[in-house]
Amino acid sequence: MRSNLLRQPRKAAAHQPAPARYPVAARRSFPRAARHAFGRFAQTTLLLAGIAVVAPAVGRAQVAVPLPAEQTPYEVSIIVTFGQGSVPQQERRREMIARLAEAVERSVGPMWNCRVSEQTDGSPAAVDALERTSVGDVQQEFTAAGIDKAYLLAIGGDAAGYRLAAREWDSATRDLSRPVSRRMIDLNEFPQLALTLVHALFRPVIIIDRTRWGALVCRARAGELAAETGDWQPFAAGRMFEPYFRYLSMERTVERVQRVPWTWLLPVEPRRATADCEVISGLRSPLSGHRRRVEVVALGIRPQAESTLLRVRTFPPAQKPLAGIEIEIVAGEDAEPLRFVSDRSGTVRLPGTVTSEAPYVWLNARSGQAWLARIPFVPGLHDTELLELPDDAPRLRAEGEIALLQADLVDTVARRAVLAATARARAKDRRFKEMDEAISEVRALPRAEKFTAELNTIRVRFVREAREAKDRNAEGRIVRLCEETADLIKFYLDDDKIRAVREELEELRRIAAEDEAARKQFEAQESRRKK
Amino acid sequence: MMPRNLDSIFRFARRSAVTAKRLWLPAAVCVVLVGLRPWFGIAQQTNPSDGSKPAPQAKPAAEDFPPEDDTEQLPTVAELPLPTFEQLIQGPAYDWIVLTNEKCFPVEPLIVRPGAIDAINAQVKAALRKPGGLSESEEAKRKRLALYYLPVTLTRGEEREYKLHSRFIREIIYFEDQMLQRVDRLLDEKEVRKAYELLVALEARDPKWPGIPPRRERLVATEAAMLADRGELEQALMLLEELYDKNPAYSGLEFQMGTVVDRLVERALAADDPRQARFFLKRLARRIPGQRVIAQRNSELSARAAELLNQARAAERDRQWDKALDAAEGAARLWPDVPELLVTLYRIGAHFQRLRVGVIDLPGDGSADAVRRPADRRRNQLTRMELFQPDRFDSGMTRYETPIFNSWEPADLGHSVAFEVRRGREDWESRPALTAGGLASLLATRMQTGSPAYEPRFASAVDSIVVRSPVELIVNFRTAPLRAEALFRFPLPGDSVTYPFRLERRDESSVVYRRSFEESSTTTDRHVSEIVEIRYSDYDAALQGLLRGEVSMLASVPPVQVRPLSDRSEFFLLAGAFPSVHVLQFNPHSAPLANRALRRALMYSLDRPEILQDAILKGAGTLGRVISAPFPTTSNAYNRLITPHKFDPALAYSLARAAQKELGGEIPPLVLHVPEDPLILDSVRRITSAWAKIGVRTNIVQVAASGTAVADGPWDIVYRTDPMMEPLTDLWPYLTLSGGTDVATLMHLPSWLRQELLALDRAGDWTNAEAILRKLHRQLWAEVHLIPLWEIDQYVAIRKNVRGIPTRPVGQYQYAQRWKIEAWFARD
Repeated sequence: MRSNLLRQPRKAAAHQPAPARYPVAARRSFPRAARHAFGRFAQTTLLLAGIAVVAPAVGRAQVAVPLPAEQTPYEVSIIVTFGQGSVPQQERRREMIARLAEAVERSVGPMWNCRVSEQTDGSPAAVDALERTSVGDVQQEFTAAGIDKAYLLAIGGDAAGYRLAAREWDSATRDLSRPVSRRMIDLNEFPQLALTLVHALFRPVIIIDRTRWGALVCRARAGELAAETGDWQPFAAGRMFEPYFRYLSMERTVERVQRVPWTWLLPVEPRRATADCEVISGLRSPLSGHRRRVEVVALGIRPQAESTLLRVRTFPPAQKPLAGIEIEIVAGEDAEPLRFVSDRSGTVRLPGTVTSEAPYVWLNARSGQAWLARIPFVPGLHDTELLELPDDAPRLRAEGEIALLQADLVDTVARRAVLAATARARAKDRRFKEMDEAISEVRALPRAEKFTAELNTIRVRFVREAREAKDRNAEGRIVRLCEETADLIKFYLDDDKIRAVREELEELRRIAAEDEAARKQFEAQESRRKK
Repeated sequence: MMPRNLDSIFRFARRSAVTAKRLWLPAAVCVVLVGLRPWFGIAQQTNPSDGSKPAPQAKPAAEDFPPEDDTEQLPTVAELPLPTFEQLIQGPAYDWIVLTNEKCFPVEPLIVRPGAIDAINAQVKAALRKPGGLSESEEAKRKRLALYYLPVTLTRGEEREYKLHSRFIREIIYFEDQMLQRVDRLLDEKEVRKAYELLVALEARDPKWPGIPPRRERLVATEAAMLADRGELEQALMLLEELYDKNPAYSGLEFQMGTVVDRLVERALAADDPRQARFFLKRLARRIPGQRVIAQRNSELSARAAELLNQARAAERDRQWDKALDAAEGAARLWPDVPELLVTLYRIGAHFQRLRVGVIDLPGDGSADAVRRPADRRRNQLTRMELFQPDRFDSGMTRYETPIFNSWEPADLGHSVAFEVRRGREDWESRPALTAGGLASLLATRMQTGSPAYEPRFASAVDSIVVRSPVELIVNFRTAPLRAEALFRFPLPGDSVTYPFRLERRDESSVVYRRSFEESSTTTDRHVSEIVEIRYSDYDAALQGLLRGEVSMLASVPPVQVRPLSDRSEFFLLAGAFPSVHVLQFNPHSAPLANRALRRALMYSLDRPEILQDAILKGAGTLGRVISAPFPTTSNAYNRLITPHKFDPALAYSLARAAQKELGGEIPPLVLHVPEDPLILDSVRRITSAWAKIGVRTNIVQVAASGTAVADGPWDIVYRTDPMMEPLTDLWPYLTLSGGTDVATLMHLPSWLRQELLALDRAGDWTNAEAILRKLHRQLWAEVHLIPLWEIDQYVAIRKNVRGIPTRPVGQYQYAQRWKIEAWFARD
C-alpha cells in the first residue's frame, strides 16, 4: 500500500491551480483576527511594527505576497483505491473519479485545491489495507508533495455489494484519522457516498494567536474561501478544536507535533473565518507561554470511535498503571454520573457516545475520597487516551493506618463511657469502693497522649514518603487526615471530661459522707435526749 | 364416746344379749338408719369380685332378722350405684356392709381389710374351747361371744361407733373393690387414662390389694389395642411385649402381638424399609417363635428377595449394570439371607461400584454463587475438574496437583511456564482428552473481555500463549506470578458434560452423580461409578444411616460425633486438610452495617468461646477454635499476634447505643442468611440472642444450597463456612462476594483496603505477600469488615469397604474417580 501510494502519479482529474506557498513567518505577520480585535489604533500600530519586522525578509524573498491563512485554500489530494474485482473496467473507474471530482468541486468550492486520482491496487483487501495504514506509511509522500489534506478512499467487494472506506491525513498535525466506512449497493452511489465520507472526515485547521491581553483568537484555514452557508464552514455550530504544538527547527521546518492533552477550544461567537476561543482544559495553563519556535494549531474534532481506552498511569518516569481508580463521567449538572474503575493494568474502557448537552463531558478521577483530577473529555474522539495522575499510595497507606488507630479510639471512648456510667451508678448506690475500682479502670485506659503519639508516628512516616515522591498533594492530604484524627482524639479523649466525671463522683462521695455524719449526729442527739 | 354394741339395737338379732337395753333401741336404730339414708345414693349394687365372704356361721333364721320396717329404708345391694371416677379419686372413702337381707349401709373404712369377716371367724375359732378341755368360764364365754362383733363407724350421726354381729353380715364391699369395679367399667369404655389414674390411686392406698395385677394387665392390653387402632403400632407392640413379659398366658395376647407385628411389617414394606420389617419379625420371634405371622412374612420376604436376585442376574446378562446393582442391593436389603446373594452382589458391585453418602444438605441448581454452601462445594468437587486442584496442605501452604498436565516447568525467572499435556487417558480417568491447542483456546477465552469465562486476574497476568506442539504449551506472563498453580485453578468448561462426574439426577431426598467417562468394560481394576448423596434431616439421623448401613460415608461429621465414631472399627474417620471457617460476613451494601460502631457492637456482644463449646463442640473441646481472621489458623496468612476480640457486653451495649444514635435513633432489624445446617442454626440462635441483648433485632433466613445470598433479596449478614484454601488468591473474591476478580468488585471496600488487595495481587515474593496478608488480617480485624467466629476441624466417616481415599482429604471427594468400593450390605 505504502509503495503504491508513493508511486501514485498525480493525475489531473480535475483540479484548480495550486496557490503559491508562503513562508510561515510571512503568514504570521498580519493576523486578520488581530485587526478585528484591536481596532483601528492597534491595527495601525501592529501594521507598522509588522512592516518593520517583516520588511527585511520580504526584501530578501522578493517574491511572495503573503496571504493570510484564512484566505489560503487547502491543497487536497483524494486518492481512490479499487480493490481487486470491485471495478474491473478502467473506463468506468475514470468516470467515477471524474464524477467525484465534480462533486467535490461543486460542494467545497474554492476552499480546496483538490486533486482526485486513482490508485490501482488490485489487492482483494484494499479496505483492510487502508485500515492498517499508519502515519509513517503516508507522511513522507504527502509532506513532500505539499499536500495539506489527503483523503484515502478504498472500495472493496462486500457480500451485499461494495464497501467504501476512507481516512483523512492532515499535514498540519501529521495525524491520520481513524477509518470510516459505508456500504453501497450500486457503484453509481460512489461519488455522493465518497463525498459524504470525505465531508465526515474533514477536520478544519485553525491557527491560534494570542492577543496581548491573553485572549485567544482563531483563524480558520481557508475560512474566507468557504461558502457563507453550508456544511463546510470551519466554525460550524458545536464544533470543537483540539490544539497541537508544532515544534519547529531552526530552519522553521516541523520537527514534531504534539497534541495538547485534555485541552479543547470551543469557538465563541464565530465569524466566517475567525473566532474567539474558549479554552476547555484539565491543565492549569495549557497554551500559555510564548515560545519562538512553537506554533499552535488546532484541528476540528469528529468523535467516531465506539469507545476510548483510558490508560491511567502515574506521572513519569515511573508511569505505573493505577488500578482501582474511580472514573466518573459527568455529562451535565443534573445528569447521573457514569462510573467506571480502572482495572489491574490501569485501563478503563469508556463509551464512545455519552448523551450530553455540551460537545464534551467532564471526567473525574478519584481514589477513595480524594479527587485526583477533573478534566474535560470528548467521548469517542481517540481510541486511547493517557491520563497521568499522582500516585495516591502513600495517602492510602496512611489512611489504612489511621483507620486502625480510629478503631482503637472508638473502643477506648466507648469503654471510657461505660466505665464512667458504671462508676456513677455505683456512687449513687454508695458503693464507693467499687466506684474507685471503675475509676481506676478508666485511668488505666489508653489516654489521648498515646493516640497522639501514634498519630504523629504515622504522620511523620507517610509525609516523608510523600515528600520523597515529591507529591505535595498527597502530603497535604495526609496532613489533613492526621489533623482531622487529632481533632477526634482531642475531642473524645479530652481529660477535662473525665476530670469532670471524677469531680462529680467526689461530690457524690462528699455528700454521702456528710449525710452519714449528720445521721450519726442525729443518732447521738437522740440517744442523749433519751437519756 | 364409748362404743356401744350395735347388736343391742337389734333386739331380735341377739336373743342372748343379757345386758341389752330393750326399749329404746328400736327407735334408735330407726333414727340411725334414717340418718344413713343420704348415703344410700352413693352405694353400689354390683358384687365385688373379691369381697369379703359372708361369715362362716349358719345363715340366720328368718325370725332372727329385725322386722322389715326397721331396715326397709336401707337400700339393697342391687340398688347401690357405683361411685364415679371423680368421687373415687376425691373421696371420702366408704365401705359398704351388706346385710343378710340384701340391705346395705355405708361405714367408715374398716380397720381390718380385706377379709374382716374371715378375721372374725379366725379369732372365734381360736377362742373356742378345745374338746376335752376345761369348762368355759362365764368371762371367757363373754369374751368369746364378743369376738363375733365387727366394730363399725357409721358415716353420720352423733353416735357413730357400733358393733355388728357378723352373722348378719352377708358381705362387705370395700372402697378398693369399688375402685376396681370402676376400673373395669372405665376399661370397658376405653378410658385408659382414668383407669390408670384410678389404679395408681388404688396402689397408693394398698399396693397389695387383691385384683390389682389383672387390672394392670387388662389396662396394658386395652391401651395396646387402642394404640394399634390409632395406628401407633410400635408403641402398641412395646406394651404388648411388656404384657407378655409379665404374663405370657394372657388371653389373646399372642394373636394381638401377631396382628400388630403384621401390620408393622406391612407398613415398613410399604415405606420401602425391609430392614425395619425384618426387625419387627425378629422382635416377635424372640418372644413367640412359633407365631404364624413370622413364618408367613419370612417366606414372603425371602421369595421377593429371590425374585429380585433373579432380576439382577438378568440385568447383568444384559450388561445393564446399574439396574443389576439396584436389584441386587434391593434383594440384600429385603432379605440378606437369600441364597447366592453374596456372590451375585459382589460380582455386580465390583463392576458397577456405587457409593452412598449421607448428607444433611443437597446442592442447588448449579447457579453461580459467591457464597458456596457445603453441598455446592461437594458438587463442584465432583463436577468441576480444575486444571490445578489443591492436593494437600503442609507448612502453611496449599500444594497443588493437576490431572491435565504431566509437568509444568517455570522458566525465565518465572515469567513463563512450559506445560506438557498428558497424552492419552488412563482407564480410571474420567476427563476429556486435551491437546495443547485446545487448552490454549480455553486459556484465551479467559483473557477475552466479554467472554463469559473472562477472568480479569488471569487476563492481566498472562501476556501470551504459545503452542509448541500438540502436547506442549508455553504461557508467558507479564510479571512472574507468585503461584502459577493458583492462577490456573479454574475448571474445564463443561456446561453439557462435566468431569469427572456428572449430575445424573436429583430429587428432594437424594442426588446422583455418575462417572462421565465409563471405564473400559474389559478392565478388572474398576473404580467408583456412581455416588449417591442421601439427605438426612440432621446429623444424628445421618449417623444412624451410617450405622444401619444405608450409607457408607458421612460427608461431614460434627465434632460431637467424632469420638464415638473413632472408637468403631468398621469406619475410617479422616480429618480434612482444611478446617471449615465460620464467618459472619456483612453485606457491603447494607446501610446500617456501614456503621463501624454497630459492627463492633455486634462483635463484642458475642461470647464466641462459649457459643462454640455449647452449640458446636458440645464437649469435643479440641476440634474447634475461635479465630480472628477468615482463613485457617494453620495458614501462613494467619497473623498469630492478633487475638480474637474479647467478649465485652458492656462495651457492646455502649457501642450499639452510639450506633443507634448515628443511625437516626433506631437500628433496623438485620436479615441474617444461614445455611440449612442444624448445628449452625443452633449457634446462630445464640448469636442473635446475644445481639438482642444489646438491642439489635435479627431475622434469620435459612438459605438452601445455592441459594444465592448475594442475589436473593435484601440481606445484611451471611453465615459462611467455606474454607479459604489459598488466601493469596481467594481473599479477594471472598471479601467482594462476587466470585470474580474484577477491580470493580472492590469498590464497596474502603480505598485503603482496596489498595492492599491490589498490592497483594501484585506481590512478587512470598515475604511481601505474607506481610500484606498479615497486615490485611490486622486491618480486617480492626475494622470488623466481618466477624470471624471459629474454625471447626472437618471429618469424614467412611466404611472400610471404601478404599483409595487420601489420609487427609481436601474436601469430601478428593480424587473420587480413583476410589474403589467393595460391595457391602447390612446383615442385620
